[in-house]
Amino acid sequence: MTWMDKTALEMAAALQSGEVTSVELVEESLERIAQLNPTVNAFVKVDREGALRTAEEVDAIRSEGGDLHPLAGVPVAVKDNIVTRGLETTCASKILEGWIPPYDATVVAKLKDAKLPIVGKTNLDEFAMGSTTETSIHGPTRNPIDPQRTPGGSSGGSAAAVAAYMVPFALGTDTGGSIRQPAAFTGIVGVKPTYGAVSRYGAVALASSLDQVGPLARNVADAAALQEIIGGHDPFDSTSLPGSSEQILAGATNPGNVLDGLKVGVVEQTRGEGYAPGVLTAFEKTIGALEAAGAQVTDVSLPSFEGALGAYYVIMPAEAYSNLGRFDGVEYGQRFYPDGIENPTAWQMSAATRGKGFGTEVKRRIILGAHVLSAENFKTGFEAAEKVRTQTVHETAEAFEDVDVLLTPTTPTVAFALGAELDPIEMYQNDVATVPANLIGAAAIALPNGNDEDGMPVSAQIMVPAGSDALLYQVAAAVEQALSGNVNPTPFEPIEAKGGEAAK
Amino acid sequence: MGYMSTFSESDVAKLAEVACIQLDDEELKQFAKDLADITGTLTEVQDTAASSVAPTHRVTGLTNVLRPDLVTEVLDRAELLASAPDTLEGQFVVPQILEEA
Repeated sequence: MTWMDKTALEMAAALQSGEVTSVELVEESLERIAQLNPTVNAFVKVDREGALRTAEEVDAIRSEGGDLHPLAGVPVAVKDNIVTRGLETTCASKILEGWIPPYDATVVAKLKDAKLPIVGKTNLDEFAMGSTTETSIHGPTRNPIDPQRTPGGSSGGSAAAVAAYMVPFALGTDTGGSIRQPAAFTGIVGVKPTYGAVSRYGAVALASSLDQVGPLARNVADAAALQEIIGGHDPFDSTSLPGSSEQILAGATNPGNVLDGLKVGVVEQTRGEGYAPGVLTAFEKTIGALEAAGAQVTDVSLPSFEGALGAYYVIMPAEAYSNLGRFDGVEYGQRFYPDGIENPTAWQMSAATRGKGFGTEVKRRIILGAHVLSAENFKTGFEAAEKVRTQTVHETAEAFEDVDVLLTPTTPTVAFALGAELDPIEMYQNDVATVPANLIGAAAIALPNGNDEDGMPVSAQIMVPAGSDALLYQVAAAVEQALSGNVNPTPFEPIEAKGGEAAK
Repeated sequence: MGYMSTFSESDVAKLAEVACIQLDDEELKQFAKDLADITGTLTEVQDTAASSVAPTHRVTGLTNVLRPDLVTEVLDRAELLASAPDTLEGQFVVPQILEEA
């Protein structure tokens, strides 16, 4: 079994040359999942039938010489907050247990049009609220690098599936770092595209002004290839924009000399106190590699990045409070009745449904959202946070007049232990470097750039102005090449090679 | 107006009522503490209320995106009803809306 160790683009080339069939690839993926998922718990649902049906279709068309997308037949996984018609979608929540969506998300429809077999749905924090994939009703996902640790969240399942070589790439969602942080914790590539670059139709909404669907992969080019498939303007998403997801693969596979003369701004505020030594050591080496390649690296001060986390934890819960109002036990999902009331009203039924159906973190954020939107608190709550947002937008726009890209560590620390039970404020600190990109709509990538003294992956984040996704991928691919001496591009062994001894 | 950084259980209960979520006593207590702690870290946001800068509602610059008033794809009615908790003759069934007087 060797194909799952390849990149998506390598698999695609092998399919096109006839060296392997899509059915063989899918079977390998499924076998890997069967071996490792009982420990890793990356997948909450495996769709053997659906994936093989697509694979057979692709193999048949190919043998008849028909037209196929270049990546047709390469297996992929989808985070379980992205709806798949006819395939249970839970958002890792009790309130949607057993829910069978009657439609496909646009990104899923695009995967199906390109005929990539979807092997299954991956685990997440409930409704994408969390940084550890521990608030899921399906149990936590384990980090394939060290199964005692979290893979991060909320797209922990997708990150683990890719990091454990179950699939070459996967879809996640990112509202404040939920693709980039798990990518950082598992040593893989994760991208939050420009806001609007990828349709959100069918990606269950957490915060509508912040959410984006994006790719996770083990290298930059595979991520670019996946964003090209799923991206683009969508009439079903009135916040979607054309252009940002087009023609991004070319720069990723041939970055050329893009680093020579590139102006890189290192953000002062996301470096220093609170950042683990292992993170910072690799970060300094990355800066060194950039300079060696001819980049002009300077420090940039963005004070609004300090207020950005607070603004995020006002705006996101407020939008979540609004978005999750639709889960009321009326038309879909679970319905629960209140105890001890003989003829409950519809309102009481909804309150009981939401009380019993939502987990603690979800309820906490909804209550916080209700608070910051309430009349007495609106001016110093939601409206003030939107002003901080404006300041962040202006400040970064000014910075981008002087630099081409911004550089930060992706997260302050490496993956921490499962069950660490950080209090909410400690937990929210995970997002400090990632939320600015969501607030301003910019594109950002998490790129593995080394390992700490315990062998845990560390990661650097590159940010570009909104709409510059092609530049992001090109620069990231060049950095990936420049670092290939410092860091093994697949810097870990799948846990089965560690003797199969996973977590106790 | 100062930002609330103390929360009583009855403050949380009022918010839970508005948000239509039934919380038990332990949750009321826990969230009162959590919300006090969280909002206590938000003084920088609170201070920005005084700024004359305009709030940002969206970052794309798009407004009032329209489409032609034409029927295109429709979802399958039977499939929609199949995922409902309770139906009757093609309609969603809910408990009584109004309480008895």
